[in-house]
Amino acid sequence: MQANTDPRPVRRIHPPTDVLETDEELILVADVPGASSASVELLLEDDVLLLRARTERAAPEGWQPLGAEFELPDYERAFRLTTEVERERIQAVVQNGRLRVVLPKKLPARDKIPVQG
Amino acid sequence: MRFDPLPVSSPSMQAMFQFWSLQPTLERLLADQGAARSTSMAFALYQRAEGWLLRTPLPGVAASAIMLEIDGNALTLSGVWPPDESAGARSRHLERPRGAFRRTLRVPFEIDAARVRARVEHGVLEVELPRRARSGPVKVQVLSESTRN
Repeated sequence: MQANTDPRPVRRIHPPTDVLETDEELILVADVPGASSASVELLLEDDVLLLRARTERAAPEGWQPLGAEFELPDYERAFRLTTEVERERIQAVVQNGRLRVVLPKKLPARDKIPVQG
Repeated sequence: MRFDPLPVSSPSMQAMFQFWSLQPTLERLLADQGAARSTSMAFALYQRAEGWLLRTPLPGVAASAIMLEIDGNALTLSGVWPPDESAGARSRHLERPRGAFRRTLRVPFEIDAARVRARVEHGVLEVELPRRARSGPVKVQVLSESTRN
C-alpha cells in the first residue's frame, strides 16, 4: 500500500453506484473521479464484492489553493451479490473516473442427456 | 436563460464532497451561482498571478462532451451525464447523476478566452483561466489649432 503524504485525514466514501442487470450479467457502474485503473482494487470473497480506489489529492503544481467545495476522497464499498457469478469472467474497466464492472451470471448447467433408442 | 436540470444527489454523493470554510470572497463568488450550485458539480479553485484554475469532478463525461463557454469574466460549463451503454439492461439501483449539468463561475477579472486551457484526467476537469493582459497606457496626442486643420 502506498504511503499517504497528505497531512489531512483521508476521507473514504461510498461511490455513487448504479446496478444494472441483463439476463446474462450484472453490471455495476460507480463514479470514482480521481481514480485510475491502477488505483482501483476489486476483491470478490464469497458473495461479497469489495471495491476500493485511491485518488491523488495534490494541488496542481505552481498554484495556490483559493478554496474548494470538495476534495477528492478515497472510495470503498462492499456489494453483496445475490446472484452467483462466473468469477473467472468478471471484467472491470475504469474510464474518465467511472468504473464499470461486468459480472457474468452463472447460468444453470444445461447438460445434454443422451437419449437412447 | 437559467435552468436547473441537475439531478438530486444521493446521500452518498453529498457525503463525497466536504465543505470547509471558504474565503469570504470565494464564498460570495460561489454563492451567487444560485440554483446551478450542486454537489455533483463542486468546484475547487486555485490561483497564481496569471489567473485562476478550476477543478471539478465530471466522472464518466468524455472531454469532447464538455461544453465550455467564456463570456467576459464568466465561465459556463455544461453537458449531459452520459447514460450507461448497456443496451436493454434493467436498472436495479440508480445513484449516479442523470440529465444535464450546467454551472457558471464568475471570476474577478477578464478571462483571456484565447488562452483558456482545459483537460480531463480520471474524470476530473481542470480549466485554466488566464487573465487578459491589461493594455498599457495609451498616449493621446493633443492637437493644437494649427495641426488640427
